[in-house]
Amino acid sequence: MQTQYDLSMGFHLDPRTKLLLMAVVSTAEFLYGHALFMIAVAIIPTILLISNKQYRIGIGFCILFLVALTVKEKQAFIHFNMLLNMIVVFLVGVVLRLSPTFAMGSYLIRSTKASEFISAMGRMHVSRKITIPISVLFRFLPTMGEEARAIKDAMRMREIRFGTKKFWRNPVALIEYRFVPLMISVVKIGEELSAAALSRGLDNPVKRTNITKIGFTGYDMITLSVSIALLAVTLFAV
Amino acid sequence: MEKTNKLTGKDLINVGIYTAMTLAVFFVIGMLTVLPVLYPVLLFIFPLFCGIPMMLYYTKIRKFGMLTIMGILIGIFFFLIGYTWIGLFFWAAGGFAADLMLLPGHYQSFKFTLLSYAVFSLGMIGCPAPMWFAGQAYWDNVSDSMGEQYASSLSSIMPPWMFYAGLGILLMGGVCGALVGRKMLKKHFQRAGIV
Repeated sequence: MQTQYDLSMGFHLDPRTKLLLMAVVSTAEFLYGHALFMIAVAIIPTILLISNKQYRIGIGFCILFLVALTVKEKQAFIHFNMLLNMIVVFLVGVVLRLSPTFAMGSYLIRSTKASEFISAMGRMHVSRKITIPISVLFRFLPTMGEEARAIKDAMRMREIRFGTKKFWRNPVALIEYRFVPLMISVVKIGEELSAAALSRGLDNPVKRTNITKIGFTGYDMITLSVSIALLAVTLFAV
Repeated sequence: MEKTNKLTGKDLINVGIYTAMTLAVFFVIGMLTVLPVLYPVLLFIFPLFCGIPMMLYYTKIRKFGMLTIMGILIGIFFFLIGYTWIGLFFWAAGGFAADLMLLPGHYQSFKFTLLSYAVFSLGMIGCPAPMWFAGQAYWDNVSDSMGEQYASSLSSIMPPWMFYAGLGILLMGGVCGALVGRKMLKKHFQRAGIV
């Protein structure tokens, strides 16, 4: 059970390794260091994203991060007025701090199947009371994005969006027109999801089995040791 | 299905759905944190808008523990994006206290729902809480990453007494949020047959 080398699957990591890396990345960002260390932190999600064929997100993240880093380095020499400076500083801070976590999160969600995730959490002895809501949460974030886009398009036809005359007459209505339909459709989808899950025996009290094979492989070893070495070297040696 | 007091799969799925919705609302409004001047106002706005999904959520709650789990999940999320253990603690505590508040009303009375949501809102203090409890290290970190200017204007807006004032603001926001949410519930969701 421990190691099942399945090379035909190509590069893949155990969900537990991904979670560990996620924790490492999100903690490392707050050990605020110098530029080299921050680049090292950003390299991990970039490589993982590219390994998962998420080229657009991977490269977009990379460019965004480098731009923010450059602005931060140059910032001391340029003087904006106070308000503009505050906004620029905040945006740069947010990008530097949060974008590696989000890139990592995007990799984690896109590369992990729900069943893999649940069985990995089960191996970690996390209660099902936590794992079920988390996997529903993961499943719903992309769905909500799709639904929100569809509603946005529909509302545009009725001229309900930022900046139109209708909007300025009653700005609060925007929230109502956008958010209420979103909530209704999400609730409906949720009900269908629970019906599907119930008919597959989600409430069955016996211990559940899972045909998904998870286990640590050589890839996990390599990824973990390389990324920890990278972080340690840039944090301490420079 | 017979009635049990244990959480069933359906309840757990509901927890996931409404946590996703509340986080989405939180995030959209969170974009306003660009201006630290707005911080105290935000403490009012967050519970006000989160009231809409939360009131819908409250119509589904019939068992103990659903709010606690929600608090823990949101706490984990904020832990990951850097609000430290303090954030997680306050969120989980807020969820648990909100669960307790619902008990005497037997999940039917709006008065207790209002009270419970107001208490749940108090958990939101977990987001700015590291400012007061994590000490100097937090401030060093802020001024490193966001610049001196941001840090000094933030600390002038958030003096230590702001913690108690913040709780008060959140409580008010929670009560208003519950009322607004209930109005929305009556206006839209009951008509659409969701509730």
